[in-house]
Amino acid sequence: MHIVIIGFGISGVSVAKTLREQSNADITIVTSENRSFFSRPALMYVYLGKMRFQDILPMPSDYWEKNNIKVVLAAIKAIDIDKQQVMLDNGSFLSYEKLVIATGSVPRSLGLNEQNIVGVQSFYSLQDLLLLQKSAKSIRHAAIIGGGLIGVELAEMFLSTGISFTFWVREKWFGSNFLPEEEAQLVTNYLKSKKIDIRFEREITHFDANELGQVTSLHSQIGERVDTDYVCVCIGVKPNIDCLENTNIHTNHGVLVNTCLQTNIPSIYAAGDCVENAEPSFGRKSVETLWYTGKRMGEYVGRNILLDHPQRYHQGIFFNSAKFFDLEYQIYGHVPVSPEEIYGSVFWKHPQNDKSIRLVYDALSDEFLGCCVLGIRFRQEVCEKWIAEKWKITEVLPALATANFDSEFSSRFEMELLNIYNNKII
Amino acid sequence: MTSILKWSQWMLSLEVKNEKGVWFSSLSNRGIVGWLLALFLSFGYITLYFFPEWLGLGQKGMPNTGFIAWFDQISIFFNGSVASQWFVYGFLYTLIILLMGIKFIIKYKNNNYQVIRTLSLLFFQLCFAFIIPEIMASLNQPAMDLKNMWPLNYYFFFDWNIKKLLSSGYFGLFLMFWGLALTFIISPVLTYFYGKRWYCSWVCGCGGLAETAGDPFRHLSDNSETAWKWERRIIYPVLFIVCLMTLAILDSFFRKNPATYLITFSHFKIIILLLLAGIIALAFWKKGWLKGISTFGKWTIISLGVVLFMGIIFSWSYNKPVLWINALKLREWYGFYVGAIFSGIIGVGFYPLMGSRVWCRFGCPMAAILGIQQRFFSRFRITVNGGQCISCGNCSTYCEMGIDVRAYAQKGENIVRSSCVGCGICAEVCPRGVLKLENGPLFVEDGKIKF
Repeated sequence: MHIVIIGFGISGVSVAKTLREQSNADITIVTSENRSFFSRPALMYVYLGKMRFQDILPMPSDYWEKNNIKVVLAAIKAIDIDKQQVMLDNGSFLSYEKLVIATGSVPRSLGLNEQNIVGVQSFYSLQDLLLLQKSAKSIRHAAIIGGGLIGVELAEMFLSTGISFTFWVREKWFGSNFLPEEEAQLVTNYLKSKKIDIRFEREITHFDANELGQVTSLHSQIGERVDTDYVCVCIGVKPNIDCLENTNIHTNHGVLVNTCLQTNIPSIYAAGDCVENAEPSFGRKSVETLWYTGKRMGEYVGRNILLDHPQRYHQGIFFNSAKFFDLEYQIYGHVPVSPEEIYGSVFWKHPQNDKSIRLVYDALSDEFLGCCVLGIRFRQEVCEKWIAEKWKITEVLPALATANFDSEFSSRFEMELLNIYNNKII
Repeated sequence: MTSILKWSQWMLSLEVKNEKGVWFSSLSNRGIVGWLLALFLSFGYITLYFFPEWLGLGQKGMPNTGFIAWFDQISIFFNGSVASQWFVYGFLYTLIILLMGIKFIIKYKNNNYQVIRTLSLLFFQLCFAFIIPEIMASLNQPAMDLKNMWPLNYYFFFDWNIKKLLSSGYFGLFLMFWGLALTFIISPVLTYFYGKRWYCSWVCGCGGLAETAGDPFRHLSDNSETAWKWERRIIYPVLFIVCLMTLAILDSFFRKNPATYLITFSHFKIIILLLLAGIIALAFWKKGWLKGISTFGKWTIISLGVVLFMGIIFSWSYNKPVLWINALKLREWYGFYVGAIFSGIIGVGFYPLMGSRVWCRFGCPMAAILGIQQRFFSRFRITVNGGQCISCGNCSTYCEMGIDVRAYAQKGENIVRSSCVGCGICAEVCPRGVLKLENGPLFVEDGKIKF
């Protein structure tokens, strides 16, 4: 059996690894980015000089050859579903019996025609990193647009290399589109303590460019104009499905799949950022552009390809983690941004340090729904167990210590949460 | 000179977490500055060990001059006599650990594990390795580093050391029993509960230097599988040789004094044979403990044991030195090649080239023993937090023992490796909080802790 995987990110690689563990099928991975599989979230560390490029390769470079997985460096020109062939931009084509679309995502655009302005880029791919490294020396004042994780990474990168910059954020607080308000305030204050020029509730209306097409300044909706010779747009990503345009594969925002991650063409599967899940479970998005989701989907697809009766994809209990400079963030289960009346929430914040814990539960049934922590580490297995077994908040609170995953000798705060909850009840 | 000045400035800079750009700096990226420092350290060791007169050590009762003489007053303060090259070495070694240890504590001040661990290292270096032996010496008692145990302290069972301890009254006897207890009781018990970290990154002097002065070079440890292979190929033979050497020296000691002490030559013979038979029997009987060792490795251990057993019996029955080994020659050889060149010149001199734990990783017989115990009979492990690894590689890059931590973490497997010294830096640098050092239950299924 010949299986072609389009995309060499975590999703495509997870498919290939799972396949190889269970079969000796012919596997070909097609990628237009790079011959080695690297950890995308680690690109910033290469810029910072904390790691070299070879250090962010999750598998030894001879892994692919050793495991007989072919890697082809080319872009997809077309997919011929009837002939079961993938046309490549180098003129050749690959025949497949099963095809996996793991094309990932592409950065969203501001819609200000910024693709045509020199000095405006995103920070997503290896090519973006190389471009930034090349430009870094000559930057006088940079702009970061978008208050997400990549924006903070860029802030850390610019700060470490002494590049002056302005951080443009659409929301009222940093992260108020994915964090409850108290957490968003905590992160915002933390970022402000880094002496970053961060401007909230701003939207960029247009860029000025000189006669060479090089960006010179930008304008916000409240009439500010800031001289800027380098702009990084990082306002999120969207599924990368351009190469499917002239095919019969059904797409909407992303590639539409059934519950087994199969597209409308039975021999074609999809995994990762490019997937649009038609029936996401409670509290989940239909397009989930996360490393963890891509890895999980890839493993399911890898197994399903070999099965006569594909297995249903279970999203599992949601979890995610991030790091804003040195401030770590973890979330398990369902933590709504604005707790409505049906949710109860126990929130504790350290009086001096940047640490907080929030437990969310159903106010009517007391069922534990999820938690998020800043500056503290929780144990995934334990949180998942509580959620899956529908523990009550009154059972979770006394057992909270078992979830702690901080390093030994760390200060503990379980009693504080219990007190907050007890005071609330009285 | 300017680069050394700049280096000392940078090393002492109190900036928090200045790990940024370690791969950009000439010092920490095996650049010119790094190579110069490696040469400087290596030659420093060579001079100190073999040509102390170049540094001004007084020859044949002459007073010290130059560099060594600077330390005369300090030495007189501590033990009443002028400085020897070993006093200068011990003094500078301790000073560097103290200074760099403070820098390390400031860098990781938000992590209690790192702070407490480093304070422990500073305490043991300052008190156990430096002050207490000096006090012992000034009281005309045998001086001993109370935390330095066999086989790292390879001369503990040398005839001159045994004679010295046994001729120093109750205090010497106490030191003798302390040394034996340390190796055969205290160390196995602590390693069972906490892993080898209780020694390697909390107490040991070599570890102390590696963790403090060596911290800026930890990313230079090669984490390839080839390096791991060489690690095993070198460290276990060193352990083997140190055991052979100790056996041979004790054999010649008892040969000269067959019935002077509580333990006679025949007692000694019986103890050794029983010990060896015990190890062989254990390898046969509890094969499950050797799970993870290749069949080749298993049979090497067993057949080597049998060959040794037969060889020892033969040599003793012909009344020859055990295994016909020339104890004096082997001792000289070990002291020069392993004691001086490997642990000193390469062990420290190569910090800027091969990372801070070259000796601990490839050479230290103590680390080898503790490692075997840690791998097969200890509650210590590094646990992985579910599926949260993003394969970024910080853990593998900053592991000073060159363990490819990521290879385990991305599979969600706990890390139980004989070489891990439990420094905790992998857990500290992980951007997603995936790793935690834990003393869990002894037996786990599929490499995962069950709740």
